[in-house]
Order: sequence, then C-alpha cells, then structure tokens
Amino acid sequence: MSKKILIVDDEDEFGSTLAERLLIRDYDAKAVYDVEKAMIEIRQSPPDIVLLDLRMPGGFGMSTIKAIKEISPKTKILMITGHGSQQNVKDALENGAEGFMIKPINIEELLDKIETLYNQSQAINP
Amino acid sequence: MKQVSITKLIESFRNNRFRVLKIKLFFIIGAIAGAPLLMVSVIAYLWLYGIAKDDFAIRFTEKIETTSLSMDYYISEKLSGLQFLASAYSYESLSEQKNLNNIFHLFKREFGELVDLGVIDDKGIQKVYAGPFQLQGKNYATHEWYEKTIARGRYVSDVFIGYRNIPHFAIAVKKYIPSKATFCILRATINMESLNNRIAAMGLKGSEDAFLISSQNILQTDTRFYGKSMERLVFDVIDDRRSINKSIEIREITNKKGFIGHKKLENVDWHLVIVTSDSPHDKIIDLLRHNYTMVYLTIAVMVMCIILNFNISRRMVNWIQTSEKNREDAIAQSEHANRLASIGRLAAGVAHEINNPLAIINEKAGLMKDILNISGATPHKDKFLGLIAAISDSVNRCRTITHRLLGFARQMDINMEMIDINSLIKDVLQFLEKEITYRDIKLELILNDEAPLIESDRGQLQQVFLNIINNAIDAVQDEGIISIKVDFSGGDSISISIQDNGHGIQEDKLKQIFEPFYTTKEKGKGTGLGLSITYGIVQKLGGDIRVESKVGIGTKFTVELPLKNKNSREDAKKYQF
Repeated sequence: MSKKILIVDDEDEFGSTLAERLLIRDYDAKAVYDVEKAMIEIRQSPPDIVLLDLRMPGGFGMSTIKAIKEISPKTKILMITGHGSQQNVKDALENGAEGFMIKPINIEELLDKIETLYNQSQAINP
Repeated sequence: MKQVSITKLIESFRNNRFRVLKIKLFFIIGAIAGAPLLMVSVIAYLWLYGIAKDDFAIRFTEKIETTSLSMDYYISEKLSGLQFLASAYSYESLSEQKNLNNIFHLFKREFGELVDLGVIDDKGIQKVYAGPFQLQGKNYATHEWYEKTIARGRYVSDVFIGYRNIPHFAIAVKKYIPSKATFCILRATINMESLNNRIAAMGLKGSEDAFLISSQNILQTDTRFYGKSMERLVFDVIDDRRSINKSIEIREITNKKGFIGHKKLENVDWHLVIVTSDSPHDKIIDLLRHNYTMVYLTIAVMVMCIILNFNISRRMVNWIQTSEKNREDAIAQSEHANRLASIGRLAAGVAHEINNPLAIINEKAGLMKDILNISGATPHKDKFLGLIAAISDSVNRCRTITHRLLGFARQMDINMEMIDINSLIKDVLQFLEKEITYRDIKLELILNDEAPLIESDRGQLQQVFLNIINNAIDAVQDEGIISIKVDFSGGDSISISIQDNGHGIQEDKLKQIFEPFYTTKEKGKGTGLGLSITYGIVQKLGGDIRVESKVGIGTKFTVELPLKNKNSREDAKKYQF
C-alpha cells in the first residue's frame, strides 16, 4: 500500500508538479489549492503526510495545523514555506507540525523527510 | 583617494576645532581663576601701599620737621645774638668804629658765618661798618629790609645782591635811642653759601632735593634740580602759604613720581621745601626685593595656576572629544544596524517572492527529468537531461542565494549555553579540514587553555567562525598561512583573531565589507552576505568584530566576545523579520 501524501499549496503549478513527481515515485500524492478543499480531502481519506504551505488563502498555518490534527491525529505535517520566518516555523512546530522545508526544495531531501516521518508514524501507530 | 582626502580634511577640521576650544577654555578658566587672584593682588597692593604711604609720610614729616627746626635755630640764634648786642651796647658804644670792630669779631667768633656788622641811622645811612667791604656811608633808606625792620623791630631779609654783588641776606634789629628820641638799626649779613652749607649738611639722598624759598616763590638757596638761588621756582609749592602758616604740608607731585613737603620757618618768611622722587611704591618694591619668599611663593602659585589651568582645559576638551566620538560611534552603529535591518526586511521579502516561482521551476525541471528517466530511450534524451541539469544547477544557485538572504534576514533566536571557545573552533575547523588539506594551507592554531567558558549561542558562533575562516581560505593562495589565536587577558571578554596572508583588502573598501551584498570575491563565488550576517550575529551576541588589512600582506579579523551576554532575548528580537 502506497503512502498517501496530500499537498496543500495555493501555488497550483508547484503543488500539481510536485504531486506528479511523487506519483512517479509510487506515492499516492494529490494536490489541493486551498484549505477548505484540504479539510474535505482529509476528512474523506486521511493522508499519512500533509505537505502544507505556511501561508494559504483562508488560513495562516497554525489554525490549519490544529484543524488537521483534530481531524486526523495520525497524519504527519511537513511545512513547506518560501519565507521561513523563524517565529512562524517555531509556532508551527509547537502547534503540531513535525518538520519544515524552505522552497525550492530538493526532491531527495523531501523524500528522506517523508520516509522519516512515515516511519515515525508507523512506529507510534503500527 | 578622494574619500580618504575628505576624511582627512574632516579630521583635520575637527582637530583644529578642538585645538581652538582648548585655547578658549584655557583663557576662560584663566580669566575666571585669575580675576579673584588679580583682585586680591590689587587689594593687597593698595593695602600695602596705604601702609607704606603712612610710613613714608611719617618719615618725610620727621625729616622736614627736623630740618626746619635746625634752620629755625640757625636763624633765631643769629637774630637773638644781634638783639642781645643791640640791648647790651649803647648807641654811642656801637657808633665807635673800634668798638664795633671788636664786637663784630666777638660776635663772629661766637656765632660764626657772619660777613659784616653795621649801624644804620634813622636816615638809612650806614654810620659805622665792620667787615670786608667798603659799605660805610651807603644809603639803605629805600631798601625793603630797612623799611620792614623799622616796621617790625627785627627782620631777616630774603637773599639779595646788594652793594657787594654777592648773594647774601641781612639780619637786622631796631634799637631805640631814648636820649635822642630816635632809633638806629644794627645789621649783620650772612652769605647765601652758608645756607647752602646748612642744606648740604642734611645728608640728602640722591633722589631728594631741599631748598628754601621766599614768600614770593624765589629760591633762597641753590637746588639740585630746580634752579639757582634768587631764581623763581618753576612750580608753585603752596597755594596759600599764609593759611597754612607753620604747618607741614605733604603732597604727591602732579604727573610726576614723587612727593613734595614744606614748612614755614619761624623767624623768617621762608619755607623749607623738600622734594623726593621716592614713593611708597618703591617701598613695596624694596620690601619684595628683600623678601624673596613672597616673590617665589607668588611665582609658584602663578605657575601652578597655569599648569592646573592647562590640565583642566586639556582634560575638559578630551572629555568633550571622547563624548562626541562615542556619540558619533553610537549614531554610526545605530545607522548601520538600521541599514542592515532595512536591507534584511527587503531581503526576506525578495527571497520569499523569488522562492515560490523558483520552486515551480525546480519542480517542473525535476518532473521533466523524472519523465525522461522513466521513458526509456527517446531522441535527444541526453541533450534534454543536460539542459535540465543546467536548469537545476541555476535553481540551486538561486536557492543558495535566497536561503542565505533568509538567513541574513532571520538571524535566528539566540540559544544561550556555556561554550568552550577552543572546542568550538576545533569543531568549525572540522568542517573545513578537507579544503585546508586539499589546498595545502598551513594552519597555525594557538588555543588558550586559560580561556574561561563563555555564555553564547553555539550554532551562531559556529556560523561566525565558519564565515570568517572560509573567507580566509578563499583569500590565501595554495600553501598560504592562516593563524587562529584565542586571547584572554583576564577581563570580561575573550578575543579570537583569524589572520591570513592573502591578498588583503584596500583601505577604502574596509568600511564596506560588513555591508550586505558587498563582496571582493570573483563573480559567482560570493553572495556578499556572509560578513554582514557575521557582523549581525556578533553584535547580537554582545560582542564586537574588527578588521585590519593591508594589500599584499593579509587580513586580520578580531572577534571580541563577552564572557556573559548582556543582550536580552527581547533585544535580539529586533533583528528578526
């Protein structure tokens, strides 16, 4: 069973392309472009990992993280940001996100992180 | 070069301004301190002058008194002697030539200095005469002395020439002749030279002059400075002699240094006048001349005042200069920090805006590469993969820049812990070990076992030293030398210097090297952010960073770090964006 990845980013070109690249690598990846759709998707089929842009229309990071964790506590959240404000990253981690990366991302590093987070998830919830 | 010249010009102008200020302060403080001193000196002088003047007046009065008494005695002695002759001898006896001759010789022997003796009848004719001149039969009826003797009974005349053509004065007494119901006058004369001799006997000092004057201001004796006998004195001694009859008057000579004093004699209408060019001021000078302690003391106080004044003005100017420099430094530092902050905000914004499209390019290129890789053999596959790799390389270059921009802007929160600086530098060197070895760079590491632990942020300090040492490696040639030295002299800070023997930095560029985006490296090799990040971190950690460099010799960075960081977390937040 392939790992389910949900990409939440208002930059649709980025999200769709990254999803396609993950699909090629046998991940069950899907991209959505706003928080509302993300929540619907998570409720319907909770992903293993959410790649979440810090700044999104309809929600700025923290509330989205809390909402995701409320719906699917097992889902790991990896923040992806073009800004990388220290305070925002810190707040995100304190609110339940498990990691962060700054755009543009290196695919190999991303895969490493995904695997690490997935393994952690499996270790806690086998 | 132009910038250096302007800097020098400003420095020169500033130094000149402080030099002028120092001189002004010297004179102002001198005036403030000197005014009371001068006032005290003037008061002391006036007080001393008053004392000296009183003393001088007493001594001068004594001299006039003594001399006038002597002159009075001299005149009255002669007058009394003549009076005695007139009383003791009858007219008949005095009218005998032989008797008069005898009396004259006796009289002269007794009183001396007499020139002659004569008896003048009531018609003014000299009936009998004893003396060296041929004056018998001479008529004196119209002579002033004759008239005044008749009127007063006895009289001492002013000095005059008379029949003998020699300056002399007459002493005459009127004698009644009851048997004839008439009178005669007994007259003796004395040469003016006798008066001169009496004056000379006073023992005058070189600065003094003494003489006799008549009531008509005619000199009766010769003077040293004011003319000869029988001449009119060139200045008025007294305004109204009669009103101050017998009194002594002393006054300063107008427009001239010195004093004049006079007293009227008892039996003659003469004034004894003494003039001196001495003054109380001379007394003070004499006093000082004979009291060197006071002079030395005064000079010592003045010299001390000048030295003290000089030191105070120098210290004040130095203090002002230091304050001004500190203020300027603080302003410059603040401006620099503000500039870095502004650029940081801009950098963060730019990085964010660039990162999103960059991420799209990166993913698109990555996807193309993925598709090509899974497509098997396709035409121009290698060409496309090469092109994609070039895109990815460029994206990575941009990524490095934007990530550093974010790093510069962010300068993460400090996380304090106790750090062994020796160990931290060794850790940093491990990152660079391969580069150093590969390029055969000689590393001189002088650590300090005495260095205490410092309270600082490990990660940020690693970034600081990584940046500086990395720059040193870039600056030196292969086989170059890099020296790293840890210094601790027991104060409240620790110093770490990193010196290389690379190409060095030009003096006019030294001030810019901490500015963001400023680099001396070749195009594409440096982002120009490393040292500005380093500068910001060191400042945030409460330290300081200095750079010295000479072209062709090398560059030395010195990082001063406090043993305890004083910058609070809140202060540090102002560097965040």
